Amino acid sequence: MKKIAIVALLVSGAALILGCLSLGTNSLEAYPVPVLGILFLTFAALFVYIRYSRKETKVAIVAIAMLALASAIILKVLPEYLHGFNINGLIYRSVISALLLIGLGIPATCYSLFYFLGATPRARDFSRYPLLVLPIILIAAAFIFIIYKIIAGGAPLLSWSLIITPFKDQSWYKEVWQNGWPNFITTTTLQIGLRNAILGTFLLMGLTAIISLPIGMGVGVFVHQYAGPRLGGVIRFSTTALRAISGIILAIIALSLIHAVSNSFHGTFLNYLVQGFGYYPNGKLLTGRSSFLFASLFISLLVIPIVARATEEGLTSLPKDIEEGSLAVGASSEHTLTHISLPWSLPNIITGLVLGCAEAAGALTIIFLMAGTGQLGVNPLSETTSLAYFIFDTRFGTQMGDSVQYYMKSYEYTAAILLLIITVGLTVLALVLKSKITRRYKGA
Amino acid sequence: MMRRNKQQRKSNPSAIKIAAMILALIPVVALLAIITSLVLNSRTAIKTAGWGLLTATFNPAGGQYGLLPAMWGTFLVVLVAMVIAAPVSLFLAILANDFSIGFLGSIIRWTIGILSGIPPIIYAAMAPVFFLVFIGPKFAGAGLPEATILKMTQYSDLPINGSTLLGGILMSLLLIPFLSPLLDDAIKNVPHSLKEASFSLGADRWHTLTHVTLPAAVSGISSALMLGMLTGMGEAMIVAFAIGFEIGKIPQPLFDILKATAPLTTVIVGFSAGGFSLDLSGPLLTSIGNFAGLVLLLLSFAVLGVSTYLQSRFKNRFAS
Amino acid sequence: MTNNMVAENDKLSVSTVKKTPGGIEVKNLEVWYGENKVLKGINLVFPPGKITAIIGPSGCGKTTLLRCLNRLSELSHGCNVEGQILLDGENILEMDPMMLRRRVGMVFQRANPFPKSITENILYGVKAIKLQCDHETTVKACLEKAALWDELKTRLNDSAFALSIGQQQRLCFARSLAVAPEVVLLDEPASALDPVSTVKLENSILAMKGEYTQIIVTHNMNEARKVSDYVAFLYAGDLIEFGETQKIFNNSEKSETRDYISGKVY
Repeated sequence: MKKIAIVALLVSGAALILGCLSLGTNSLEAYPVPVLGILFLTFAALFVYIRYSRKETKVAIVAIAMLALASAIILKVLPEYLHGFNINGLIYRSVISALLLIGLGIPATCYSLFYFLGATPRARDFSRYPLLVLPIILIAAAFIFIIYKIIAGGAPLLSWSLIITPFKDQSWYKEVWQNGWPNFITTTTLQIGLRNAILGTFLLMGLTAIISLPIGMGVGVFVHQYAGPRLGGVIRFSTTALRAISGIILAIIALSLIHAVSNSFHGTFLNYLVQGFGYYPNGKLLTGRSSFLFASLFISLLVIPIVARATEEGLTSLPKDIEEGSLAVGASSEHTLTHISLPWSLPNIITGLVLGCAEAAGALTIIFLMAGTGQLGVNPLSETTSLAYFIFDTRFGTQMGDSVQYYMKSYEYTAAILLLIITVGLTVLALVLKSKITRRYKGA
Repeated sequence: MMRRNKQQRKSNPSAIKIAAMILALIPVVALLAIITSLVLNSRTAIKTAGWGLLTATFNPAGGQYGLLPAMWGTFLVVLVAMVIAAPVSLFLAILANDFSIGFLGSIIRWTIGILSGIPPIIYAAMAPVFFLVFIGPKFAGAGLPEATILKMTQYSDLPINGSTLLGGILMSLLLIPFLSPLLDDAIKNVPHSLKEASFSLGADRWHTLTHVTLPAAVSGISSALMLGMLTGMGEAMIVAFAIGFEIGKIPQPLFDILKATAPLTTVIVGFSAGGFSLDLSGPLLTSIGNFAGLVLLLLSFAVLGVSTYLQSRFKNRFAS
Repeated sequence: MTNNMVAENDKLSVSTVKKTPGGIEVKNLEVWYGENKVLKGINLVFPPGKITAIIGPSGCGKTTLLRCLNRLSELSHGCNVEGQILLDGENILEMDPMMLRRRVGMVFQRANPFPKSITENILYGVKAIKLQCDHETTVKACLEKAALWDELKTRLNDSAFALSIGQQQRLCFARSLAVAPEVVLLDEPASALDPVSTVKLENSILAMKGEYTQIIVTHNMNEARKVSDYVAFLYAGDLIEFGETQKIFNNSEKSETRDYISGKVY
């Protein structure tokens, strides 16, 4: 029996691998039909053998054999490209063959593994691993592919000068005296660089952190300590609901706010506060699409719930005995809060803040209609820019009115690498902090 | 939590309490402001198109301003994404818990943790590459000479400029690191005593998984899946790169994922940003955009509500 | 392998199976949890068909020993088992654990019924190992053995969670019998029960003498005295004394045993 099982295992494995490879390339079309044919023969033999030696009629095995035969016939008959029924595409036959091979390969591998290992209950458990592992392998391949493409495309272009130089694409008239006559010459500067995008990302993170930290902690403290069940429930719900709101909605509300301010308060300080401003090389004052301050306000709406939840979790995790011990010596509950509870919760709050910063760095859906290329400087009152926006700009720049798409399209992956370093780095930091926190409780 | 009893409440509240209360009310105010803004700005749309907004397709020439294609677009892309992401995340959770060998569980959890730090724009930026490698050869006849293609189909009949399938695949890659920890929690929290009872009766691990662990974790799993759907519904960047901004028609056949059916998120941008890709603009369309935003908001809250309800049922299940 | 090949292919029913209950022999059993040596070389024979009680103070290794007998100890991380445990001459440490657990059942300290109906709970094991038997007869026989049939015969489709804790525990007892094991392990089964349920459970255990080998871990001296034929006294991972119940309680050989039973120490 073992011999048949080994053959069955090899054939099923081959079918599976062939199916997975067919997902990636179109050049393996000669193989599915013969492989399926062999699969049919092997499983027919397996069925007969099991019937004969163990006196069991395994319907599943004969079903696999029959389906393998049917699939082989179908694939032989299908034309190379399928089109029709108003479907928006030309479906190549390899899609069908991949699906059939994987769909049959998984149960086939599981069953043959089961019989190969002796058909015991323990074997039955082990035979489930192909089913569990295969989809994960496919997805892992997709992730590895992405990471490879990003590094391969972006790393060669990564250079120190890229990081230090800000992107500039400006032209203006400059007054020059020539031969005693004033002359206006067009002067242009064109610089390729990501400096302002990087600084912008950090500035967004910083401003968002400054705004969300007090508000988030306030929510956490109030709900944990002071609020009654109804008010606490309302606040908790609102805070969670903020995370459920799509970034797009916040984006259009922000946009309409900017338009309102721009129309009603044009030219005033409020206008500059909201839209951001900067000075062109010829001294002209320009307003941007939105300022960092304004953008951070909206990004904070996403980060506050993270900090609030972290604060509340930290406060609830304080053992009640410690809290009561402080009150028992006569300290007020405010004093207990500031000297015992909040310091205890500090690791949780910091972890939440780090996670929030990672979110802010990657936040694009909220700001993509309000951001620019940061050519006029990076400070809280200048136009918003970030690495994420930059990546977006390399594809949609012309529609946004930026020229990044022309000059810096090839730097898309480089910016992606830099962005990933920041966000993944922060996320890993948060994970490490979190594991240190749980270790604390095991000791307590 | 230390609550003040009735006698103490009457004394003056401390500065901290006042500060905390003011800060804590900010999210509530923000939420109300958002909802109000959406509702107020939708008035024009509602007055002009009424119920047609929800039931008709989008055909400005014919006076129809329906959002049905956009809603269907959201549904389709989230469906594709969840069909891929849900089983993979579930299997990852199973491999990390009941079928774990040695350090497999830790490896899975840390890898997923690292991947969860990837922001959506990265997946979005990979849309052209994925098209080139996967969708092009298999669905758009890449590599075939143009004459052959034209013989078989109209050239416009190909998913060249974006497709729900592409968006769904990329979205699933975003959702997997999001869903896996949630499903991991759901499975981890099934009481060990139930699994031991099953083992003590001679059942193997797979039988225990399918007959005890998963049924017991059903509400936790469903709640997590709803949160995944929520994230997918609100996602705009991936969809922008992979599908597009223009509101289309409801695809015929309905489930043709090779067509580019723009979901609510990008449609909202198309309307409200004015001139992004539609050259129409103006108060009516901006208002429709706001209304679409309101629809998206209400749908999101509905899903969130169901998820929270399921989560509370999950926690109470084993309280007795 | 023999018992189970038979079980899967023939028609059996709990009420009609005439199996001789197996005896368990423990040889030089050593168990570590990580760095901690919890059992330090146990040598013990559990006589077939009899009821053996394992007594001793908290932390002496009673539950660990019990859980080794159906290899549930393997589910704990860092648990290392060495030595031999023979069930009817076969070393269980080399068997397929799932096959083992069909022959050695367990009732846990806290009732752990599945969130299913009473019938589904009883038949869970039967379905899991694909045992061929008449479902209705099995349910009736198991519930009768646990003295639950009269109480529950009209409520077989109710959820098991609707029962009282005492009934739930007796349901778990009935459930463990459905797969027709040879040995039943009981880990302080009555420790969370009220006196009435405790008595009913103890009577069920007594009624099964001869048909099954039963090994019961208990903190309760009265229970040990009432229910068991043999007693094993464990202290700090060592087997101090083993003998017939009468002898252990009335004139044990070791002073430690006497001290523990009289409540003087520990």
